[in-house]
Amino acid sequence: MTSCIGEPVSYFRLERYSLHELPAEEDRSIAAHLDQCAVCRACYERMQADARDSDVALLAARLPQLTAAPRPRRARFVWGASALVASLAALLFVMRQPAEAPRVESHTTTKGDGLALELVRADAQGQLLEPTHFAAGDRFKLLLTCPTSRAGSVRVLVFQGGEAFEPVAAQRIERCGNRRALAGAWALDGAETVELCAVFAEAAEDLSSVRSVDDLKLPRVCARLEPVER
Amino acid sequence: MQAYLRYAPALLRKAERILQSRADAQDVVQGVFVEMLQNPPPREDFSYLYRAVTNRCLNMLRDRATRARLLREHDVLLRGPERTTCEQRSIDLQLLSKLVASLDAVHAEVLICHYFDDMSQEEMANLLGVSRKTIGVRLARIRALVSELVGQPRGEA
Repeated sequence: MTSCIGEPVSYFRLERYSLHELPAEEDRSIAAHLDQCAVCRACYERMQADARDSDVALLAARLPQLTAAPRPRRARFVWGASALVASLAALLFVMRQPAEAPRVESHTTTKGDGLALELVRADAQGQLLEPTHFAAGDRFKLLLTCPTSRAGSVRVLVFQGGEAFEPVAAQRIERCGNRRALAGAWALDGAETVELCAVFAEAAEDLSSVRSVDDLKLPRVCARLEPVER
Repeated sequence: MQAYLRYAPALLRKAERILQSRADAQDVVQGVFVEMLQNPPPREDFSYLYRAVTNRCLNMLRDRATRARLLREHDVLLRGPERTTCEQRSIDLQLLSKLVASLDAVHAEVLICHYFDDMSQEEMANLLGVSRKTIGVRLARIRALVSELVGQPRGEA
């Protein structure tokens, strides 16, 4: 057990601080405490390190494992809730990965206009793959990092073969932060290179005339994905 | 299910701190969200989910078979750093399971908030929607039980 310089910042408040959910005054007071208190700072850093390791998409991926290989001691719960678990898994971006398998580096971060974009790619079997390429049916999810001072609407645009489409609905972000998972996942196919952009706008913008990345005038961050044969 | 993507890591950390088992923590968090699908709650904010995880962990600890297994298999490293509180008392899983077996639900929740979440009395009062005086009374009962089970904590003689 170690000593805090005063009243320890509870884990509940530290988590809310990390999630940017605290009022500005409380936020500042915790930041000041963390500056002074090595013990609470260590707790916070441990939390941050854990958040980096346990990516939200991978956490979601743990859900179907219980239905795929239920442990005997939890059989009743598993079978009772299996349909619901499946529904939940379908709502989330579900990727299955055996716990003992080595971690696959499946995240690529690109930056631009003060934004950072991280893609997660999985094939139909839930195997995590490098998100620099895509094969037909691969599914993608996007994590966006943007400055905490910003708020607005995020649009995902996919450019392929001279066409543009939005695979998921525009999403409102009230306060930016690190690696905000955008709702929804989508599949890619086709033989042409894909340019995928997250576009940040203060308000809803009409993007119907946009056909290529060069047409975009708003802050954006884009990643290029090359097609591959499986 | 934006709430899952946003809050699951924090909730897993909390459940791991209490149960000291990664697999059981995953079951707890998953159970909370499955229940939310079945019976959508009036709110899905972090405070609500945090309390829901506390109560699911307590239910696991109340189950005799689960408790016995956790005591056999727990990983103390998942408890995380323990910071000094006024009691200077560390509650390990063994003691926690004894306390949970002897306390009612409202006291057990205060026990977790105080010893595992390091919350102040004011914070607990706000989260649990009771007065600070009520929290003080519940803490006194918990401390008395701790003393009964393991002797006087340091600094409280």
